[in-house]
Amino acid sequence: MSRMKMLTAVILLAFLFGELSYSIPLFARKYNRSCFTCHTSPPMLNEFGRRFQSNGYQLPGTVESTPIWMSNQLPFAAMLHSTFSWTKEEMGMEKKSTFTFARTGADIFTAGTLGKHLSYFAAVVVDPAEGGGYEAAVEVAHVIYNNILPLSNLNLKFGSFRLDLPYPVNLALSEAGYLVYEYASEVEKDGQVEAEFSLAEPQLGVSAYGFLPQVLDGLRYEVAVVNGTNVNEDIDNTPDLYVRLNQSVWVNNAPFRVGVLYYLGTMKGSQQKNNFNRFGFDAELYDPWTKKVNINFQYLTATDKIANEEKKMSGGFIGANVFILPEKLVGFTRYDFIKVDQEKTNQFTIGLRYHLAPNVFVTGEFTNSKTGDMMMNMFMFMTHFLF
Amino acid sequence: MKSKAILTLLSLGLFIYGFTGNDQPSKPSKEVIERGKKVFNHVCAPCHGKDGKGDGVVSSTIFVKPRNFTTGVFKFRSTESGNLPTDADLYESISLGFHNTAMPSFTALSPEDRYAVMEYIKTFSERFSNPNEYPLKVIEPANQIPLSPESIAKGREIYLRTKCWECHGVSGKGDGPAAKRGFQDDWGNKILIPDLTNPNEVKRAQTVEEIYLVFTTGLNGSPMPSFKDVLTDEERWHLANYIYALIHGIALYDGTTIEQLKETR
Repeated sequence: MSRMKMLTAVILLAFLFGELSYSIPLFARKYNRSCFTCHTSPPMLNEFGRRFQSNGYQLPGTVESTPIWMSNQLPFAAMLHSTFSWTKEEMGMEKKSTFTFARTGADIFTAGTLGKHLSYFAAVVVDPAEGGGYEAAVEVAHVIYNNILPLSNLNLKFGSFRLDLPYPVNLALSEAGYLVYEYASEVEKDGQVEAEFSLAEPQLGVSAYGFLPQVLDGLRYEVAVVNGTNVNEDIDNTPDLYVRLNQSVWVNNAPFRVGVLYYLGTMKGSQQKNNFNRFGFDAELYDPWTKKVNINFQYLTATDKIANEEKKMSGGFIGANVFILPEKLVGFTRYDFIKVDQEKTNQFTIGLRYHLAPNVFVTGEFTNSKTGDMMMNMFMFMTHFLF
Repeated sequence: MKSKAILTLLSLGLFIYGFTGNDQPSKPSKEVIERGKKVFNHVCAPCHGKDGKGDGVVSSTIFVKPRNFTTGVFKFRSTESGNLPTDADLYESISLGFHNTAMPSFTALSPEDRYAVMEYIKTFSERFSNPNEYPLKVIEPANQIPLSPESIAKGREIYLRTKCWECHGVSGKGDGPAAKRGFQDDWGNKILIPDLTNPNEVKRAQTVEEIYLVFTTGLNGSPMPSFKDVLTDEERWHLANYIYALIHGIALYDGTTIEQLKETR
């Protein structure tokens, strides 16, 4: 089978099963709106988009009942992305430069209403595989029992999903990973990782979430019970608990948000048992005058306890997004810091994105990362096309 | 059961009253306003702001800015220039949204919620509670002229004579000499002149009647004036037919219909 046929087959297969994690043009089509109704710049959600997402991918305040099979539009969307990167690594006297034109990857999404209070979301990632060809993986797939109580007071989702982090990793403008979210807790067997957990990865389980304006205006919550295995096979059947609370106050119609998160998990391998946790607080604000500058901050700690050994992580990030020209030009920057036991890593990233059209954009991003005497500089140029 | 029926009738009465009270300010109950506030804060405030000033956090990242409700000035209405919109106008705007903007259609919001939001929106501007603003002078479109090649041709002639092209361009593409200087609305936001040959750029033009109303009422807060005193009723219908034909691809910008083109070839 030729590569083209293989790619076509993979994409068709992917269409059969799912969807992904960026902006979702299928909603733009369904509601006949631009991407910017829900996104500051895809995939970063704006305040309306967050409420749309919380309401089971339906307009906030509404309960839809027409199932997708009654719709005259296919509930699928895709994003194609191509990347050119230049990387320079230095370790002591050793230096290495790499230029890479990555083959085009695709993220495929499907989502919609299944019935009254019932919707679903699924995402498939199609990435170039090492050695040629493509490989597809279902990233998330869950059913949402949405708007059980009015105004998104209570929603439930079942399946594989991303935890409601203060700054969802799949919705960031930057390609540079959040170091503290990516930190992994793990158990080993004969020196090999047997299972691991990180906040950055989707989990399997059930989650209750929503807004509670009756308790406190601007209060948002999530309580989730998950297996904590990054959607891999559960080796211990021990449920983990995730709790997040987030409160917004409004200054001149600009939100100032503070939140806390807590994760308590247990991982039992065949040789090791890890009792681990995460605790963090976060703050986000917009400048109250122009609302064009968004500042975000996260501090997170982790403790892993394996037998009598304790491993500690602490760190966070502070970042800014600047919406220079609406629907056209966005700048972003972030500084990440993390300390795992005595090892420190610092990462700085800065980027600029230009929209040729709402669904077509180019992004340039520079990242500098330093751990001990190892340093890496990377420049990426990316094109994204959503349809 | 009986009390439920009475409550339903009362709600229905209140609901209907909302669409007939153009002679004086409406007086919704406290419950309606409270309900409207709750829905508005959750659904509308991200764009329009909790105080209705149109500067919600989303407004900084979208080109067409959300309406500022505090001035009581609304573009799409069925009332004469300078008048407030009717309750039905506001309800329709919530229900249908506006094409080529971030304002979606909220038909999936319950009618009671839409009605409550409409009443709550009116609390942002004192104009709505000022008896001097009433009665509203409502335009009732009548004597519509059917869409025909003759009417379209007359509309084209009126388009040129009235100098619509100064803003909208000779070909209707929004590239007239005045448009090149750039426009702002009354709130200081940049506005683009829509390309009338592209249905995706026009905010509301599903029917000839909607376009007729724009010419008759004008778009308050924008440079688009009312032509009620400049053109006769008949002329406005011809112009509306021409613009409708342009938007929906029935005619070329010179007024030649596609059917006429076929005949000449």
